Amino acid sequence: MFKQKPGSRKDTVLPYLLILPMVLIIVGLVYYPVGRTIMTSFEAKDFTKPLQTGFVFLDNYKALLTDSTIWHSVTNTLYVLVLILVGTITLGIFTSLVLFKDSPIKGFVLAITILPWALPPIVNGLLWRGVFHPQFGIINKLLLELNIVETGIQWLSKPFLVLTIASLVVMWRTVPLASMVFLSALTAIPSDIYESAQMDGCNSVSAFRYITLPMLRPSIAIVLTLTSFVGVNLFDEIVSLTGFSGQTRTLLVEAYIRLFSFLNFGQGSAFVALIMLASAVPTYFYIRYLNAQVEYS
Amino acid sequence: MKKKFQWVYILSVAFLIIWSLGPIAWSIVMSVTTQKEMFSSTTILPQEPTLTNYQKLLKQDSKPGSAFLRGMRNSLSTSILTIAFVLPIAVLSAYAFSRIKFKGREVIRIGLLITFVVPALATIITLYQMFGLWGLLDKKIGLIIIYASSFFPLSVWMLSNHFCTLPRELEEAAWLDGCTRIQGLFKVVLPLSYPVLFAAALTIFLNTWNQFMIPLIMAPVPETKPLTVVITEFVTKHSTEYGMITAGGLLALIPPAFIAIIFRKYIAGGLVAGSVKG
Repeated sequence: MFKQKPGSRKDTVLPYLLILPMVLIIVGLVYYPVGRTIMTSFEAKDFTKPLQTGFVFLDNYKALLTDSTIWHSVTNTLYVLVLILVGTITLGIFTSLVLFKDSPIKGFVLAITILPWALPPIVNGLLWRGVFHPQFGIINKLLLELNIVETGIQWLSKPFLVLTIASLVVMWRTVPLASMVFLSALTAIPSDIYESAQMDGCNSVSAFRYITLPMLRPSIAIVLTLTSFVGVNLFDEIVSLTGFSGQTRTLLVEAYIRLFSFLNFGQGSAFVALIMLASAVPTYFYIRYLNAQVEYS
Repeated sequence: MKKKFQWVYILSVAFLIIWSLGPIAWSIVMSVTTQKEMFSSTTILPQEPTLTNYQKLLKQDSKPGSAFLRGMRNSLSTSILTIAFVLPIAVLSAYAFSRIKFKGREVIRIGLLITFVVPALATIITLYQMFGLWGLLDKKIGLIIIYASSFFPLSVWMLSNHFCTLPRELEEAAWLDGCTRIQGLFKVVLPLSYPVLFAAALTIFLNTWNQFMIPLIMAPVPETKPLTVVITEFVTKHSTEYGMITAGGLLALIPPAFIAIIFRKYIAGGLVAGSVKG
């Protein structure tokens, strides 16, 4: 058995032993596969054309960038991304303000706002599909009942509408996390700032504008970063709202099709490599956020 | 003025309730509506609510029932086994990162945390080939180690942040009494960390329960298929039976919903402490 005293020479080996299992799994199951994917992206590897193999350098990338269906998935993802970023920030701040207020039902409101975050995204898509179903969805039933429309709206037939609804479904699970982050930031604002502002004749709207919002800025950055990852990686909700085929493919759905339906691993890998490249911007902010946290602790 | 504010609060809470629970409430309505009524009825609520959809899904000897219950068991066992696998390894790493200075610590720590941003598709092609060679496809253990690789950043982050807040003096006192570092970890640090360990375990459970793409590619056979995959198959097989789909979906929500509501304090804390994988 280990008989070392803490702080002794053995301490130099111990930390490496402690992290070894984690490092092995991360290197073997994340770093090595990512490296292989990048290598494959420079190779011809199409299982429908098994005879053409070998190093082709940037051919896969060229083929992708001139393919119009790819650009379709790019614009689809960008549209969803903008909607969920704006929606998550505004609804998240709104929710956190509601949760911040002291009231006898505070715990209850917290429980129901957290709930959607915990649920499987793929199932969320199915439930929301029921809400927007043209024949028996509640939205159309209400619209018909109130005589706002004469025939039900085909919510899930136009790509633009599907993507908008998908954004709503994604926000359903991103808003809870955002509101928790904002809530903890709100709790950290000392209340005497508000008191002195009030004495200076500041009303609640300008207090929000000049005190709350600036104090929330770091948390807004965190939420924007985390929500961007959700947006770029959108997959489950699209699949459960409209399936794999269709014009509503997002980046990951398109990549999935190229890999597992077309079996073109070369192009699919190049596409995934491009998606990782696109994540570089939020990744940069994510690392900065992590480093800021280090100094903190 | 005060009165007006009260109204704004009540309306806001009402909005949050409809937004968060509305889709679930409507799914409950759909799940108890008969197929006939769904297409013919003009009223919003069903006239003759029925539980047949649930009975079908929970009956072991019916075809959809056996698939559904099997998926439920697979999801449960995989989630619990993943906690058992991830948590001990994460504790050891988190302890090393937060308590011991060693060469390369920062590089390794960032190297771990950055894997959070790698999309699953970037690794899955190679993993599929590797697992094919090793005979790990369609096996629970295969799924569990993939999940582990993607949950480590968050779990280690949550745990090491917490370990940093514990006073070193407690451990040093234990060392003076003849404890080794490992004994100190188990006898002093861990007993002070139950809430965080619990929060980490719950997050791992929820994340495993909600997986879809990875099991769809790596283990789409009855022996391993989780509930999420089983339910999407219902959609293609019984595309018109919306009652069944919503009933199945709702049953799949029960474990995570239960956890989120009962343990909301732990989870809210954990959510903020770490950046949760979306």
